[in-house]
Amino acid sequence: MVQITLTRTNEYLPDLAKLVKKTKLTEMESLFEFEFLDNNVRKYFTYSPGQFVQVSIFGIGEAPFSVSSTPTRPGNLELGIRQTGDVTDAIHNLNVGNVVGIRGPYGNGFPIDKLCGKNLLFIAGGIGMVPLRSVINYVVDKRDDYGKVTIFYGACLPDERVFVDELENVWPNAADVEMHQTVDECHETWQGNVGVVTCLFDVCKVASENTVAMICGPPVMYKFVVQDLMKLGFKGDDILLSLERKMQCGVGKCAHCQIGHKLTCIDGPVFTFSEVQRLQEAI
Amino acid sequence: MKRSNLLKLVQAAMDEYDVYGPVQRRTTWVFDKIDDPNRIDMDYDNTMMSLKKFFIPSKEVMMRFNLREMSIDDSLPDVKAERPQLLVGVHACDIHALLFLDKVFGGKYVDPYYVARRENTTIIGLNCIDPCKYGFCKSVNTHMVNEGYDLYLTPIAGDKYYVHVGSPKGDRLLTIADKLLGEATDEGHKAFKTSMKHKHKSLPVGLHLDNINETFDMAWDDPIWVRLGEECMNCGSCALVCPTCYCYDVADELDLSLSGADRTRKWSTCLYHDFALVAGPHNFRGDPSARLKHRFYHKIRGALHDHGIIACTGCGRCIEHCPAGISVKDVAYELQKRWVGAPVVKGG
Repeated sequence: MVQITLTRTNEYLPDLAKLVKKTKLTEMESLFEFEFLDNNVRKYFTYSPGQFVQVSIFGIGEAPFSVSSTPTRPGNLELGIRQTGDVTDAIHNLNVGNVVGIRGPYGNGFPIDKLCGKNLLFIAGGIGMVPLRSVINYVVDKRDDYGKVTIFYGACLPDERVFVDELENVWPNAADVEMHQTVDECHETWQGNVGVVTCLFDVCKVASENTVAMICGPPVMYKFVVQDLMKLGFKGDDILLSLERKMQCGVGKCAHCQIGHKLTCIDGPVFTFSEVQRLQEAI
Repeated sequence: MKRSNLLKLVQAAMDEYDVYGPVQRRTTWVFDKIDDPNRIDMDYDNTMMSLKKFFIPSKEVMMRFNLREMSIDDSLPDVKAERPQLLVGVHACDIHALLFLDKVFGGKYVDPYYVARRENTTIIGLNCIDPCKYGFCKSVNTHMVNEGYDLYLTPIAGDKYYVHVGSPKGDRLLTIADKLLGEATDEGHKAFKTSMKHKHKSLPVGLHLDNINETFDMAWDDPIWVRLGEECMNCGSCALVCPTCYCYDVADELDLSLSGADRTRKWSTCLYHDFALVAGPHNFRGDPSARLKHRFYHKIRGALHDHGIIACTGCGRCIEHCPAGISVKDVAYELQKRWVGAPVVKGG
């Protein structure tokens, strides 16, 4: 098959897209589905799990968001977004039919082809599930290409979990998928595990052999998760971290997202722990 | 070419180009638009601002949004349609800075605004045969240029310039300069060599680049960063005057009518408190000394890693304009002395 990619003379110019669906995930996060207005863009826009796009609200600004949908399910672009600043406020105030600008996708994404045949361990904290959902659904759709899948998910409170339907009903019932959840604080509506996400290592014994771990969560989480993985015998190259920084241009120019000399927007956002280990201030 | 003929060349070029050159203003010099060639001061020490303002303006409108029609009007065609620029009297350090910026704004994703301005610009370089007050170009190997100029002038005896032609754009200038300069004579060649000898004797070496990468690798936990972090005011002056500091902020500016908006980008610096601040809020470099250290590491260690050259051209502007008196040269020297032994230093 011939792969057609979109080329642009000016990478900074966004394509127009309209909001087609808005689903509340939690009090603060919603899932937004966008559809490109231009037929060619709609047809040829594609991405890999773990990449991000830049969304513009004209007159308010532009911000980077990880893609939550999977390229295995062609259709609209889904972005899980927390209401936390000017641009995200404006996105949350959009009505279905409103038009925004989107450019991308940017970043390296997860090396999904190289992971074929491997067992996969996903560790997500809070809205760290936003990019990992893309990979998980990708793997679920191409189930035969990958080994055993284990998902660890931690959130502060039960109500703060995102994609609850998939956490509770879809992924636990997918073939050869083991799903574990925990919340930081004990809560009357919660019967499950209590504690930070690393407590799930006691609940579920993970074998490091032929396994790759993919991690995304709040900045504080990475160090502790990596420590536990190393104890289990994971090698630095088999630990993939999706890191967040302040990407503004998305194309390696503005330098806001630097981690040392690496640029999160083009060298990342997915780094192996081996790479990160050599960078100061990364995790 | 006689020195006085340069002014005639500038006069003739003004029909075709917007000409910018060094002009004295109060206590310093600036690259200003030239309407009278006599204002050009080719004996200038250094300008306060570097040449980056001609390629990445301190503020530029990248595109305009029409909020009623939800349409985007790109500024790129306007940038491409600008009158060609001719920059006169550019020192070697500033040419090196442009060669560095070319690497940053090129690469996998090309910055079309930068490239359009770069293509639209012709540069007449000026060889410094005497040192300037704060510069240390010879310490960082930026006192010579092999590329990046269209014409390159070396002052020689007899009030003349020895002219190198570096590109087709330089050839184009020569057609404008018809009869203003002639083929170099044997006497000219000789005078050029005399000038260069003088240059190499007069420019000091205050630092040596040997082992600069190892030095910085070892110096991450050096107490100097805490000390400098306390002295540094995080004002960003160093980065604003720096010819290679390119970081920028992108922001939308809404019209008062609320019917349109500009997407602008403005110079920013990694020294500013909110440079690495993300939603949460989480600041990846909340500590002032972490920001200062990041700037040093990016300029020296990071640039070396990514582009094979350090992003310091030794122009000395940051040393001149730092209100806290922090000198990148002294810092690098101190670290080298501490971690890999004293660099070889020759007086000038």
